[in-house]
Amino acid sequence: MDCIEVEGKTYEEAIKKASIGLNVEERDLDVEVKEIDTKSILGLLGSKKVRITARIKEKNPQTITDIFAEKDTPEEYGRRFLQELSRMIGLSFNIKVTQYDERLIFLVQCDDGDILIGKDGEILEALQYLLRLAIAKKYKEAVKTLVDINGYREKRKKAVTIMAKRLADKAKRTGRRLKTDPLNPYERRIIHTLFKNNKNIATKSEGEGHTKKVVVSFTGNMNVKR
Amino acid sequence: MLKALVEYMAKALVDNPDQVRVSEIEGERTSVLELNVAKDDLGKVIGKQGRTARAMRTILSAASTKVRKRAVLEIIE
Repeated sequence: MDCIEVEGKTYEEAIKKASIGLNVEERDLDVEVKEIDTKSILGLLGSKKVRITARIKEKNPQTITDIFAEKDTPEEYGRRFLQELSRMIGLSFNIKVTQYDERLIFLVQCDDGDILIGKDGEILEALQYLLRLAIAKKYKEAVKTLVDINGYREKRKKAVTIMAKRLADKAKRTGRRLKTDPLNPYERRIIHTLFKNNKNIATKSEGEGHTKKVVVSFTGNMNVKR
Repeated sequence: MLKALVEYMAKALVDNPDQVRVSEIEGERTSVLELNVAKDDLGKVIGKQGRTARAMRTILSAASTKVRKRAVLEIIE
């Protein structure tokens, strides 16, 4: 039902209630005053009631798209973008969007997920990159995003963590600077964060381009006296 | 389908989506997709050090694997 009847102490209040009730802007309401009930003389004392019926204005197609555009969020747009891409690639996605630490996280479930992850997550990275550009383009602001397909990033996170800890151990034992395999920014951040509060281990990214190696080195006192 | 994919990706990135044109030259094994955009939008579809173009090619290759074909994306200047 696009029409409701509301009461308020004033005309303005009644309209406000109607706009909340119908979940539209006040300017999009067609209002008809049913009754002004003034129990007091000249409306100065006592209670006063205004009863109106309000319905959502008929809109031409232009304003309907405007309203959709207004309600568009990076989250919804991003979901649609990925959905469209998947449809055209010939796969079907099930996408769940959550938010963590100001980052939009798109969790994708897909039967043929391996195709979309690619070698070393290459396709996944490309998808995420285009998604970020598309959102930035549409909303004129950078939104932090993360795309994961079938839990790939979670698995990588575990693998990278194990590798980093092993390297740190070795660095501590030998005092050498050790390099990881080439990692993407997300994976490097895992390592930097892992040792952030560890005074004995320093991490540094080395190299050029999108994937870089992380150098893990021991900076504590070497108690090796031989 | 590959043509629609390239068109969709390009349109999401440029300032003048109405000037995005993609033509597909289909071969037996390989399809060549030629992407035309407004002059001012060339940088948008190529990206810093070709990163955007590379990302589009990567996704295109995923899509073409699915249909057992090879696809090449050419950006026309």
